[in-house]
Amino acid sequence: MSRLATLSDEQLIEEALKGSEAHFDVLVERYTPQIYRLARGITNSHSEAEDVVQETFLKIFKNLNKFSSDKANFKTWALTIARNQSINTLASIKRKALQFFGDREDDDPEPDFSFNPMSSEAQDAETLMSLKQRFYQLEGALKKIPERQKTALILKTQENMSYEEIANVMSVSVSSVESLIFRGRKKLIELLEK
Amino acid sequence: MKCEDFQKRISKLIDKELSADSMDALHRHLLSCADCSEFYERSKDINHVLNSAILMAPNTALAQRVKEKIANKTKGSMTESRPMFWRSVPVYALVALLAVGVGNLAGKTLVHSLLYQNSESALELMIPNGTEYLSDIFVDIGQEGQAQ
Repeated sequence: MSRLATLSDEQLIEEALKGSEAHFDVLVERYTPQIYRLARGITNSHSEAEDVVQETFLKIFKNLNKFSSDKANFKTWALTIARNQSINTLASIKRKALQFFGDREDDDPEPDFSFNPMSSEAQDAETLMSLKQRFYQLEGALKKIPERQKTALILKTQENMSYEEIANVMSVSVSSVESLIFRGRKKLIELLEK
Repeated sequence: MKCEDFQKRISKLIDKELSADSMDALHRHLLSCADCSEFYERSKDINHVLNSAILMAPNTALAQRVKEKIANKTKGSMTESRPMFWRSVPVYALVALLAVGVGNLAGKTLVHSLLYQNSESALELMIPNGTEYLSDIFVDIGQEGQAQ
């Protein structure tokens, strides 16, 4: 791990604001997976999610001087931008789909599951294969639930964020987050039963 | 309390957001309610599968592409600033023209003022009548010659 990778987000931002591209690059490496997963969950598309990641970081780069660590932490701020970008992209996809095809079939390649050295499960190829199959099945159901429920569930289960942090990203109350996650789970169970 | 209320608590329990004082009642209910027990098991399963997406990594080249795009953007913004400089050239030209014009109005060109200011002062020292320019003396001499 490089020396820069050990710095906190705030330290990296401070140096990036002085003009250090190397420090900003560490932020890109640190948050690309989280932003990609959220964007993929919302847009249901690998290629659109990659575009969202690029656009999100460009916005972050342009507006870095507006970031205030007193109001939010960097992760919350970055995911808020990513969510808004994903919603805009999703709206654009839906408009195009309505215009040309009536309904859109996602022809994206399947996402790559890679071995995460932090996960003990990933060491077992059979477990990984089984998880992959169940994830694709669940992903089909996720496409059918409202964006707000899906976003809240993704941020909770994949990014392990607290209800309060999710509330900040989504600009809603903590009780709304509770309700969105509960309804999302219930809906997924119903969809998987069918 | 209805099953729906207990299921809301189950959702919070799975997310580690349930307060300790709400847990006892929930555990007692789970022992006696098959529907809520099933909701609990299925919710835990969905959570586990959704969590496995952490293993789903974006293309490793994605972060690199983002970095390159931002580096290009930074260079782009630097090259974008150049036209700003060239756009101000007419302003500099106008200022220079005004300076020449003002110089001419004063009876001297800018070149004259710049190049001959020092030498003129030196000539003035050589002229006995310090109130006149050397050129005026030549004109006077010429006029005297014509009169003769």
